[in-house]
Amino acid sequence: MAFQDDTHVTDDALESYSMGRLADPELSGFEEHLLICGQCQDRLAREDAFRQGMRVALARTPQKSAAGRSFPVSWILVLAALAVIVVAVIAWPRPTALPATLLQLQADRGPQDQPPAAPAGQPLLLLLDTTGLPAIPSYRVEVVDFSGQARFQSDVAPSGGRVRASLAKGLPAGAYFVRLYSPGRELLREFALTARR
Amino acid sequence: MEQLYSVFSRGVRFYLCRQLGPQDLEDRLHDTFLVVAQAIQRGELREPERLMGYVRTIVRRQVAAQIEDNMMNRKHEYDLDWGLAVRDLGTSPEQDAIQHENQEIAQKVLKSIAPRDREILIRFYLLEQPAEQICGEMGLTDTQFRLLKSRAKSRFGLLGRRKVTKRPVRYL
Repeated sequence: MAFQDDTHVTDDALESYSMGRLADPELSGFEEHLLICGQCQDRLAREDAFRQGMRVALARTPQKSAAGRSFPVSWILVLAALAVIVVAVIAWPRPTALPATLLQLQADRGPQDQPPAAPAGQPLLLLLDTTGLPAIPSYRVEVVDFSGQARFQSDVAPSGGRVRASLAKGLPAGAYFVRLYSPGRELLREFALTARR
Repeated sequence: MEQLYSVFSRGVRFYLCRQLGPQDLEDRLHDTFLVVAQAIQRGELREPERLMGYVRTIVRRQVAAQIEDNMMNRKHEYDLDWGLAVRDLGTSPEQDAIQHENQEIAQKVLKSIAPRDREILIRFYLLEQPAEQICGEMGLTDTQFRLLKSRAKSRFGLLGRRKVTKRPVRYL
């Protein structure tokens, strides 16, 4: 099962083994072959290199982290800073509402440059391009973070070749994907978006 | 014995190094062959076609014994409060350089692909979600999923090869 052409292990088996997911009975046959096959050893070494390189590179992609926790700031200083902030917030003249940042998202193909950026934590108005999409009464707009967790969902009617989605609280800093679905949950379009502090 | 060594030495070395690192690799390799040779001499290996399975079992035992040994050492060393000579378990400069290079190549691969494709790779390699879950949640067919991974891998390989060929040749 883990062999292709009765000669070498399959790419799937190689990948599963590299990820520590291959179990018996395939595992024993795989490892026995690996002990005598230089070609499969080289393939596994390449697979390991790819997987490890990818893991580190993917982990470095912009994501919200708990930065600041390791700073050696004492509780007294933290409380003092909080007190100053509370006083400032109370005394500061309150604006009626933060203006929403308007972000137009266009569909592109090919290599990805820097995705459009929005200020984190501020109201956001997304204008999604629906050019070339089937004319339907409403689209499902979904914003997911890098782990695939949905942060915003709404059914919106298109207008003038665009769909408007309003995110009143905005998004925390990080990388996101904005997706357009048909009512039947068919993915029609996807846009990248970054929220920055 | 010589034949046995020529057939298995690379594979056993590869397996041991992958599992335990390069530390004491030659000693472990030697120990493994000693056990296998002694078993053959004692006539314990009655079915020659099971030789590969037997070697694998011995290598796995070596790995398990080494891991247990490391655990015991750590346990004993924990109680000592005086300066202790410990072996450097970090990677060698050469390994560091290779890893750094692999990460750079992976970054380039990631930059060259669409965000959706990147998300698929994140889910699979970083979050280690099963392929079925990713395909189900992202509306992908098995073929699309495989194609994306295989493209990313071939690009990784291509960039890696380019990097190697770009290196200036140094004569010693």
